Amino acid sequence: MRNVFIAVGGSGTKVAEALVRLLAIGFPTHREKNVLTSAGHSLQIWRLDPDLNSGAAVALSNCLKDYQELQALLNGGQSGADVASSRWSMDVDTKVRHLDPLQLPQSATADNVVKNLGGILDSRYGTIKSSLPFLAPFYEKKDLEVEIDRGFYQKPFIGAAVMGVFAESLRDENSPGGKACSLTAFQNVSTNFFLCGSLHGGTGACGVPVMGKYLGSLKRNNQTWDWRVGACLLTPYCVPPQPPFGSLRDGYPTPQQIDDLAKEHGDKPAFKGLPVEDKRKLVEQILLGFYAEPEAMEARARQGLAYYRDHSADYFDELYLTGKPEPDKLKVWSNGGQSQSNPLNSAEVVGALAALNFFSRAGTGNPESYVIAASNTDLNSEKMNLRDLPRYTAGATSEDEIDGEAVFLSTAAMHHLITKQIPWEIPAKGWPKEIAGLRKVYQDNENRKLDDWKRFSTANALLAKFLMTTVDPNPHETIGWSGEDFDKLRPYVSGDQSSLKEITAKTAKKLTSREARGELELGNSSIRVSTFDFGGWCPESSDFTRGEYLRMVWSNLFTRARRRMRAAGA
Amino acid sequence: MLVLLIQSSSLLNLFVDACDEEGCEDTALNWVIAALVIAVICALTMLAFKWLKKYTAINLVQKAWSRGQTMVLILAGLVPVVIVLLVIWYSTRNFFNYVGVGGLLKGIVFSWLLYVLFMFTGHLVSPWRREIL
Repeated sequence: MRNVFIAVGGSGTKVAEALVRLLAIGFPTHREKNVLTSAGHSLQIWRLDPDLNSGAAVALSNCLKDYQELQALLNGGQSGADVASSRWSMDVDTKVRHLDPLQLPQSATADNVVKNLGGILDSRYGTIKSSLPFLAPFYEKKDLEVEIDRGFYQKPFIGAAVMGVFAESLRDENSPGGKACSLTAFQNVSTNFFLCGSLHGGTGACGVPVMGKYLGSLKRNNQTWDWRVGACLLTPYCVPPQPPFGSLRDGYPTPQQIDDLAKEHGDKPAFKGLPVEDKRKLVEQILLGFYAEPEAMEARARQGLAYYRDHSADYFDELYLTGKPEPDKLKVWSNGGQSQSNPLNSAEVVGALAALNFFSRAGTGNPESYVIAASNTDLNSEKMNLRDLPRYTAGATSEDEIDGEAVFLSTAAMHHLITKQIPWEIPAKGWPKEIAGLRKVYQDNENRKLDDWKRFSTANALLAKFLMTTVDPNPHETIGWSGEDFDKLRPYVSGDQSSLKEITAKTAKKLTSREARGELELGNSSIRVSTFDFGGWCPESSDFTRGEYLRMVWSNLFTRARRRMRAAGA
Repeated sequence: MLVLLIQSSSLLNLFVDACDEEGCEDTALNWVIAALVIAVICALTMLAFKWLKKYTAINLVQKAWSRGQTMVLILAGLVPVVIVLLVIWYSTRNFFNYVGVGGLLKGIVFSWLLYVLFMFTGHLVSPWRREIL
């Protein structure tokens, strides 16, 4: 199954990062040969954003690098040029397709060169004529002139016009956008297209409906292609602080005003590292009011939802809505570009779970109705725990319900078992019969064992990094987590002796049976597994890959976690 | 038969310092038998100790014995061999008088060799052979 995640704007890009993290951690999308997995399916990430080098794009790129490294460590040797592939998790194309809405076709060399609304509306290509004469009366001069190569400053009325032109250009396979999408490659191929962006922003608010409408109409006209189009809309879940100074009530700033303010605020984070001319431009943007206004976010989100209800919802197979009752407060102000590198928000992880639910094709229930509320009413959205995450289904039955907390616990337990509970230092031929499956594979191939040991260790270190940095309460890493899960997860992945001793004691078998003496716990989830149970898990075929082995161990652990929970709840 | 063969050879003389008096050959034979029995008992004890450790192992790492660990176990078994032999040698008048210090040392070496032989044999004829080869 092919999946395409279309990240629209900065928020969508952060959700894409969260999705890659969740896939790396082990979140499954389907059941294959009785193993819950995401491997065997593929994911492409498209990014629709004029801000090509935003902090979110850099964070996504770094996350994909780690994912690629993880997959390379776990695969059996085969790997595509840009595809991070292994039997551990989904094949992800690490080359993000940047759909720049400002890269538009040209009739003449002067068309679509000036990167502001006026420049784009004044351009032509093919049969498309300049729309500036018709649209100019609806805009102020400053709206037409402001540079938009770092986003639409949460002004959907600017972004909607640009996105409209861009969507039209996608119909032409030779346009820059058409080439980046290469939609001909998806014809007659079962594909899940999932769009994600904010309802309150500039790029997301206008990009998601425009792209959704474009893909939805293509799907309607080609019913046999087995396409599905879904989207996750993010309501205001975090608010930026006020800019360093306010905007002018009316009129335009003088050059002297701009110079003075650029000098006064030049060393603030949003300005740091910018050339003098860019600092002046940024000052001018603020003075003219081109920045995100926290007070207007809620109203914009409400208008956005009304637009979906009236004009857009029919193009989507499923629409998810994610938000927080009280938005988190960001500490650093930025107006786009690399300085806008917000930490990962727990709401973005929820958005990524919506994508996983959509990719699993589980559906959200009755397609004719709304499905409301995934979280409990007493949820503290500023200090969430993994147990608060909504669950999704990765298969045909309720047996395949995926609880995020159990996934994290299974991966953490797997990390411990593989790195600490296999006697790697001892030649495999000397391993006990309780781990006969692996012994059989390694006993005549000590070099393979040593190589696997090394790669498992490095892969598990990367898994630990994904686990911990996704719920780290450090405000530089994430926002919206309580830190309880972080503290509980740390012993599983740390090498300190007291933690090791404690977990080893829990996975030790009882004297008279193979049953574990204790339970591995995380929040409401627990797994009872002894190392002797774990030793019996091995793929039947001896030519399995490291990813395949890891996935089998994980799936067995996850199944136990769920059973334990059901037993506790019964 | 083996005892008669040993008795008829001058091998026994090696295990006693002074063999001027009548009956010293019996003492030497007893000393050799004592060394043999102690080697067997110690080997069986050490093998039983290993079996118990493996049987009561609570995880895979404890259950897997490396060659190094096995060697340490075998070497550790040399100590009780010496101690038991020393006690028997000192507490038995004939051994003390006729076997002497030289015979004691030779007996210890003989018992050690037998013990090591039994330990290796015990591993080789069991599934533990993988832990020593």
